[in-house]
Amino acid sequence: MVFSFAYGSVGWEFMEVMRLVVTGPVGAGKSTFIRSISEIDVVDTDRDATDETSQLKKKTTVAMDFGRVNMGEDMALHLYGTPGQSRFDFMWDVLIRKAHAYILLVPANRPGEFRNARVISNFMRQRTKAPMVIGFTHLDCPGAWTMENMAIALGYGSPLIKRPAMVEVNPTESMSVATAIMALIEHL
Amino acid sequence: MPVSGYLSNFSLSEVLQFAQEGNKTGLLTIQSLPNSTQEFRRYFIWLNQGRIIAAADRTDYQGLATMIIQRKWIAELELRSLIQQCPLRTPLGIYLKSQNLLSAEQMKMLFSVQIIRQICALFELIDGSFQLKTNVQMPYLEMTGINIPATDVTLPGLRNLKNWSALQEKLPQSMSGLLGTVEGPTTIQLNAQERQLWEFTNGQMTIAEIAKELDRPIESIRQIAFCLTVAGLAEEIPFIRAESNTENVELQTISPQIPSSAFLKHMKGFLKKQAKPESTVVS
Repeated sequence: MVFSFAYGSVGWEFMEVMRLVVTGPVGAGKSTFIRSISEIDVVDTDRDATDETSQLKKKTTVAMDFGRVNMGEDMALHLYGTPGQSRFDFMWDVLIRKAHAYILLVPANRPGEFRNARVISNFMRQRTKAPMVIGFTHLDCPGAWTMENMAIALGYGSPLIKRPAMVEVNPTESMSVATAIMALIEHL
Repeated sequence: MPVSGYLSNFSLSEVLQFAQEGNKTGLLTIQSLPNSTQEFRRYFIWLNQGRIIAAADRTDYQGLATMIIQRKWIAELELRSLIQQCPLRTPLGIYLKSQNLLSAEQMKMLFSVQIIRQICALFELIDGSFQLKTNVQMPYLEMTGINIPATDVTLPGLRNLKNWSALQEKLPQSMSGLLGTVEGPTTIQLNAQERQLWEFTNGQMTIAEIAKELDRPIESIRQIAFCLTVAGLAEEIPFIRAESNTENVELQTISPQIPSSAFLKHMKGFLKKQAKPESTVVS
């Protein structure tokens, strides 16, 4: 359990917080995912994208997105979105030590990003035992790969390698996001 | 549903790794783009359970026969007659060998030209398209009977690559390490530089550190590291950069605390109210 202390109108109160990290390559829908479910305006750190990323989108997260879901007075879900551009800097160190679970979002229509996603997945497998779910996004877009083929491209082709749960996610829909988070909770 | 795309997004070496790791069976078509400045190329590679079994620049199943005739190993008329007699579902190469018309060495030479040499040349394509179709006929008349894992052409193909610009974004980062995926010595034929780097696939040193240790340019080590990863011998494992950017954060595998069962139960109930009734979940 992780407890945070918050001072409220009745004095010091216990608050239980679950920390979920949303990660994945550029354009997977991480910021959108958090925005779809967060009750607060997502604290975002978008900056103008540069180089290849700018050909995909105008802005990209350079530090971290943060969102929150309150479930009563003493329970909350905190969501942290990692930067899309793969910079494994000190922030990852903080996230790894604090996160309870991860969701790795992978865009089905961008095979150019599968290798990045595979590297992130390798990182998670090696550095943390926190449960992870893979969420495949953009499955309805032209050129989208199937979930099974993406699983292979991410390095889960061999039956000897245990696959994490894999879900289809539409990051723009709060219902879909909620379903993905529920799939993650099942593995806690 | 065929898997398709562009080599600029998903490189040929990644396609072959995908085909092998996915135990794919079918026909892989590689083709240069119509408006490319390079000479037009189209090549067909047949796979069975992730292994390359035949390849040709045509789909009329006459490629192997043409090679044999060109080398004057068997006269054309005789070969056409033999093809008619070849039992169903028997690779032509195996049949001809069983008739003592071609030797094992000749079969290996044909396979080498058909597969290794031709596919290695495809790595030079700066861009092109690929399509992997399943549910295709086995090309028995193109088959020598020899087969190799799909990634066995990757190392020879990448070793001769002169222009790495198309793969630049795919190369392992200098701040990443390599973790070997094969226990014990590998049966894959590595050259001296690859074998040197292979010794460092214990996930303990970054590529930058390995380059310094081997007194080699970082870029060269990144390229060889890429070769090892797409050949299925290692995986790239990022190291975390410390805030000062001068050293790596020492990491151990973290076992996080789990939220209480009361919390999880409450959260499930909360989310169920927002969740979609149907969703696709596989594991």
